[in-house]
Amino acid sequence: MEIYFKKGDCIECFECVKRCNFLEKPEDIFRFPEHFECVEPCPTGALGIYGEKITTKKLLEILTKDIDYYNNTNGGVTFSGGEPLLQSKAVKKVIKKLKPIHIAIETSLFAPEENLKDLLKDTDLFIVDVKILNHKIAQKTLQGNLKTFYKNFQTIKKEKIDTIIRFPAVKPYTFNKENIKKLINFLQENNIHHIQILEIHKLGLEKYKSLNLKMKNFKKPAKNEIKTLKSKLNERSIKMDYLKI
Amino acid sequence: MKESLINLLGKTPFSPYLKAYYTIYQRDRSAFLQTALRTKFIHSRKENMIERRVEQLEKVCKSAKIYFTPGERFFYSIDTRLHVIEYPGYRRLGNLTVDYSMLLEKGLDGIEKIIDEKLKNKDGYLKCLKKSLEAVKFYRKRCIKESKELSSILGKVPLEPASSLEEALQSILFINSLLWMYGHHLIGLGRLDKILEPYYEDYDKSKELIKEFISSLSKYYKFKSNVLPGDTGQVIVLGGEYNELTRIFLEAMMELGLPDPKIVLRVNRNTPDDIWELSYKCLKKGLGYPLFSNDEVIIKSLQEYYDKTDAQDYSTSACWEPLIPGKSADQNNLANINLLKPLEHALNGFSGSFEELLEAYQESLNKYIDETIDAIESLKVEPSPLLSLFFPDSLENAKDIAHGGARYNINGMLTVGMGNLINSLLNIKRLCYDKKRIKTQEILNILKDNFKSYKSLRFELENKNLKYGMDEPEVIKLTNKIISMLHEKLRGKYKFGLSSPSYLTEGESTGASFDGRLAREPLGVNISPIKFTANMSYTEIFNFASELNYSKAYNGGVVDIIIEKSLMDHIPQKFIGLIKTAIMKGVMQIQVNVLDPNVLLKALKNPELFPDLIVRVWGFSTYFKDLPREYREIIVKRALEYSKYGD
Repeated sequence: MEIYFKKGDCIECFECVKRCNFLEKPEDIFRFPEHFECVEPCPTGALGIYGEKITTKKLLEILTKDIDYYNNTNGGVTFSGGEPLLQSKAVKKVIKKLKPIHIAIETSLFAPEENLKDLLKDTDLFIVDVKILNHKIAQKTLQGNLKTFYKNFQTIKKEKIDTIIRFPAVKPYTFNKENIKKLINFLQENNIHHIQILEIHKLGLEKYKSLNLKMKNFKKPAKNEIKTLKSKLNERSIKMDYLKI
Repeated sequence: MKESLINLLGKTPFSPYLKAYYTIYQRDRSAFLQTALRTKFIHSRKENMIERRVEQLEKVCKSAKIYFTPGERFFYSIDTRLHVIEYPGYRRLGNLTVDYSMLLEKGLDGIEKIIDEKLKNKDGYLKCLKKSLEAVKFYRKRCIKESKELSSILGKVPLEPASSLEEALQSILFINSLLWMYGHHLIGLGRLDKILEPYYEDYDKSKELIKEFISSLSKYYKFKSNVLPGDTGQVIVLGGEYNELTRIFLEAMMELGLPDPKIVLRVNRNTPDDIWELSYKCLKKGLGYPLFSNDEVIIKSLQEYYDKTDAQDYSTSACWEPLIPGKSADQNNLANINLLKPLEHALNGFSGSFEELLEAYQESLNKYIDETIDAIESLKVEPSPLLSLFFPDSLENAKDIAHGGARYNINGMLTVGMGNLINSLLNIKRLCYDKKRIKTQEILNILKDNFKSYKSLRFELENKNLKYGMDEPEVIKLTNKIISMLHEKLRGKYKFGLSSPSYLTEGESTGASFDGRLAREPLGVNISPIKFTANMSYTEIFNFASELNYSKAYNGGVVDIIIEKSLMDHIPQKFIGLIKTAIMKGVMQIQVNVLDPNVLLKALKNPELFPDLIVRVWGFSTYFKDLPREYREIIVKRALEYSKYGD
């Protein structure tokens, strides 16, 4: 859970300052990230909390409200980031009860193997984020162990569970010669014939601002670079979708 | 104030004219003088009201100018200069649908036969009906003399039964045009796919005819519009049972892309997939219709007053309030109950528990309803021999539909401000009882101040706490409790519903409210959240709406949602699944506006640059540019909220 402050929504009523002796102005809240109760009096929601602690029971209650809609629209429930595998015990509890609803898990696969095993039985689809396929760089940039990634991927493959591979195209982190080459190798070795490439977006900009963080300015590949990638993939009979938001 | 002045002037001999001029003024202030000068008043000095009305009809039939352009397939002429004078102390019937199937099966001659047979034993009203019928026939004769072409078009119908689709449509158009000229407003068309089924020919021919029929009906758009442009009440009800004509009407409307007439689609478990798909396409095109009406909920609820077989044949009045065509003389929109008003009274000097507050609310609501009923019942219903001719029970009973001749006479009211009331009550419960931060005695002062010294409180009221439209047991229970209060009071006398067109006008005369609404701001729209926020979703609103007690409140119950055009484009099957599921779960009616917020923002600045932009207001579709500014603003505001948070 993290406290945020959206300056645009603040009406300067200073209800938060009245509540908390440490604040002189709302922005000061960033110096007191544990003061969750000081956020409460804000009438407009300019101050608030991202994230919520929720019991599996309550989560199930919310998810099952819409169960008829899932059934009638080929819908389902997707657990996504953070990293659902890091909360596998709780997720397991929930999805067991949601069945036969279609369950998808979006994951980086950077998580202990036993966590993955918790979820194998009841998951219908894994959406696997592939980012950096160089051991050292992955460790440094993503703090992820590629060995774990590969091992987990093999486990899913063995179980023959549906998988979608997603690859965010970010220059220079993921979209560089070496990494693309490794990506193609990975796809071929695993006999994968479909990949979704994600265009980077700035949807998180406001969120970053409200957390007093700077968003890194990532670069997206040029149109012709995407085109080249597409033909490279197609030559190897891999279908590519470029998803934009 | 203006009304009472009119009533006072009502005592003078000029009064009927004054009222007429006032009506003309209200309908289009800018063109008042121009319209008033060309208006031809239809007046009668007869003592007896029914005779007076017959004479007015005769005058309409004798003096209406006939407009016909050679080459047109259908004859549909309305002399818009005619103004049939309404007499003080009377309320004119409108907002209903006649039984066109009787006209098609029997023709005017057949109807005359029924009257003649009955005339043998009785006198009185039947004679008036006979005279009225003769007036209609006289008008037809005049039309035939007008041109050779017309004499062939009207050679057989409406006198004889229709024997082809073309004849059936012409017969309907002929009578429909007279109803309008005779001064009845918001005239619906009923279940045309069902009525016309016996006359269906082949697909292409039928479609061509239906398209021309619709084009005829869409004429005289301005003349037919009631309060706002587009508010014509020309509702075609389709479905319930489905046939090729259901498809043809939907396709024809979609291809023509007109805002008027509008379609209400009756849906149920048996609604075929292709009908859902056609509806999706219509909505995606931005026409604002069809409005989906849930057969199972409505037919079951209607049985409070209506026979089951009749309930199954339901159609709707101008917006969405159910009635039985040709059988109900129901006036479904007689009054608007502003649910916020009684709360002000209840809070006056109040101290006590939350339950006691609800009791005080009920008491003050009852008083408010009594006053409303008194106002309604102070007016007599004006007879209409023309309408009565097409109400089979009226012929059978030899009684005008204004005097109980129709099978059903169950009038209805609408409620407005339910969302504002529920949010106010939830806020009072949270702040005065749970948190004990504010005393109930302070509330009225805060509201009178219009939140000037309580800025942050207003935001808190608006943004925090449970809200109307949320799928939360406490919200649903409280809403159903208010519904029960209304039902307890109105039961046996009036129906009521949960959707009303008066959110703007009633809002203007209502002070600030404890849901954070400022004085004079609009009230909530239909069964939709007051504000669509990040923690709401379409499914949440539908889940909430499906839990409401429609068996008590069925005089219209519309969930009004807005979907962004770009989202709608990508999700045909998901959209259909969403609506189907909502209906299956028990949502009564659903109205969908498909809008592009970027286009709307531009159109708000320059409406004339977007002459074809259609939006849905109240229960009708209309051109955005024709709407008064405040209506345009509400639509844009809501569209932006849904665009930001709709998923």
